[in-house]
Amino acid sequence: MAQLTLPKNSKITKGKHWPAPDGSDAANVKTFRVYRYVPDSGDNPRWDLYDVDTSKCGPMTLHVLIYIKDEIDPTLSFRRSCREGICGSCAMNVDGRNTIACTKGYGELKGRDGVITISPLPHLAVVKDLVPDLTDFYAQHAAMEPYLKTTTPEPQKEWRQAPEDRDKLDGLYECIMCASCSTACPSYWWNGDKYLGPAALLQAYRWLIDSRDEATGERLDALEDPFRLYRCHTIMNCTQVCPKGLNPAKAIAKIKHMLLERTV
Amino acid sequence: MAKLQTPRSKITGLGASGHGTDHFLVQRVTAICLLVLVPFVLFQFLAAFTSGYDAVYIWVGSWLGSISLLALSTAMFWHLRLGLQIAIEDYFGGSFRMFLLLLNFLGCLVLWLVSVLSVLSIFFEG
Amino acid sequence: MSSGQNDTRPMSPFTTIWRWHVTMVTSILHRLSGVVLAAGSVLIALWLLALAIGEKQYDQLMSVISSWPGQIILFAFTLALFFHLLNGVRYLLWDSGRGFEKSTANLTSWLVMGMAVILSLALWAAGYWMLEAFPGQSNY
Repeated sequence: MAQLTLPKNSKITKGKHWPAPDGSDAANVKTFRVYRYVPDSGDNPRWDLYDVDTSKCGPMTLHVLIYIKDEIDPTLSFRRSCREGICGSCAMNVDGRNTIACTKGYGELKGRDGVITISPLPHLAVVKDLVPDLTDFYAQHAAMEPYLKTTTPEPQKEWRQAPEDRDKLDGLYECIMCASCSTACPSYWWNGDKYLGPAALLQAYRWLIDSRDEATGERLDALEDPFRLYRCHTIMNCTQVCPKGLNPAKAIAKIKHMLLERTV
Repeated sequence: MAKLQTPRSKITGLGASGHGTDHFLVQRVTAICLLVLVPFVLFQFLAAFTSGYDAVYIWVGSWLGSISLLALSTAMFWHLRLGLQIAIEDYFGGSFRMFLLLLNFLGCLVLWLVSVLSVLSIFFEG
Repeated sequence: MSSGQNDTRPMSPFTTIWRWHVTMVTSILHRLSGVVLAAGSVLIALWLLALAIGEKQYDQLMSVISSWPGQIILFAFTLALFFHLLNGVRYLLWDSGRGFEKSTANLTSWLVMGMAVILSLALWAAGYWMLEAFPGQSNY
C-alpha cells in the first residue's frame, strides 16, 4: 500500500532558530532550514533554522553543514566522507532536489524567501537528522548481482572485451550509489518495496549489456515483472537529479527494449 | 519488535512474475492504433457534430464509419483498461486494489460492449 | 519505506519539499488526462447508445452536451485528449531510446503542453466555424 502522505509521527514541527555566531558579518549571513530528528527524545522531527556566515565556510552545501556542526550546533548528524563527489555518502535533499551536498554550491540554489531547505533523502525511514536508512536500497543493489556471471571456465589471463563493447559501459559504471535517483522517484516512493528503483535498474543494465556476461537471460528473467521493472513510468526525476549526470531513465528504457526484443 | 527478515529476503519477496512485457507491448500497440484512429474519427465527428441525427446515423452505419468506430472503441477501452490498471496498482494496495482492478475490468468491458453493440445495431439497421 | 512493522522512526518528507521539474508535471498530467479521458469514454459509449436507440434520445443527449456546462466539460475532454495523444508520442519516442537528454525531455514537455492548448483551440475554432458555415443542417 502506497504511503501517499506523511504518517502522524513524521509531521515536522517548528524547531529552534540558531543565530550566527558573534562577530559574523550580517551581509554574508544566509539562513538554512535543516531537518532534525532525535530518536531518543520521542519528539516528532522539526525544522531548525541556522544563520550561517558564508564568508567563514566554503562554497558547497557540505561546507555549510560542517560549519554548522563545528561552530553552531555539534548535535547535527549527517553522512559525509570524500567531500569530492565520489563516495556518495552526503546524498540528501537540498532546496527540493536530491543531490550530493559536497558538489552542490549553495550560491546556485533558488531557495524560498531566501531560506535554503536541507532534508534527508525522501520517503525513507530516518535514523537521525539527515541520516536515512538505506538498508533496502542496498539490498536491491545486491539483488542485481552486480558482478560478472559466467559458466565458461575462467581464461588463464582475463575475460577479453572489444573496445566498442567496453564503450557501452560508459555512463553506467560511474554510478556511486548515492541513492539520489531512486529516492527522487515517485514510483519508488509509492512502491519501493516491490519496484527496484532507478539505481538498481541502471546497475542491472550495466551487467545486461556487458559482452562478457553469460547470465543475460537469467538477469532479464529476474526483472520481467510488473512491479520490479515496469513501475518505471519515465517520470524522469532520476535523470534530472543524478549528481553524476547519468541517465537511469534511459537505461531502464533499454532494459524494456531488451525484454521486447526477446518477446517479439 | 521488527519482523525478523533479512533485507534481501524482503526485497526478493515472491520473485519475478515473469510477465509485464505483454502489458507494455499491448499498451503501445493500442496507443499506435489510437494515434491513427483518433484524429480520423475526430475529423469525421466534427463533421457529424455540426449536422443532425440523420447524417450522423448514416455515417456510423456506413462501412467506413462502423469499422473505424469498432476499431476505435476496441483499442480505446483496451488501452483504458491497461492504463487505469497501472494507476490503481500504483496507489492502492491489498483487497481494495483487487476490488478496483475488478471494477476497472468490468467497467471497460461493459462500455466496450455497449459501444460495439450500438455500432453493430446501427450498421445492420441502416 | 520503513523496515519493520513496529518501526517508530519517522518517514522523511517527499511531496512537501520537492521542487518539481517540468517533466514531472507532464508525467502527472499524462495520468490525470488519462483519468479524464476515462470519463470521456463513458460519454462516447453513451453517445453511440443514444444514436442506436433513436433520434429523441440522441437529441436529448446533444442538448445536454451543447449547453454551456456541457461545452466546458467537452473542451476539457478535448484538452485532455490532445495532451494525452501528444505526450503519448513522447512515450513512444522514449521507448525507441530517444529523447532522454535532460534538455530534450524538458523541451518536449513544454512543447506538448503548448501544442495541446493550441490544437484544442484550433479544433474548437474549426467546429464553431462549421456551425456558422452550415447553420441550416444543425438543430442545436
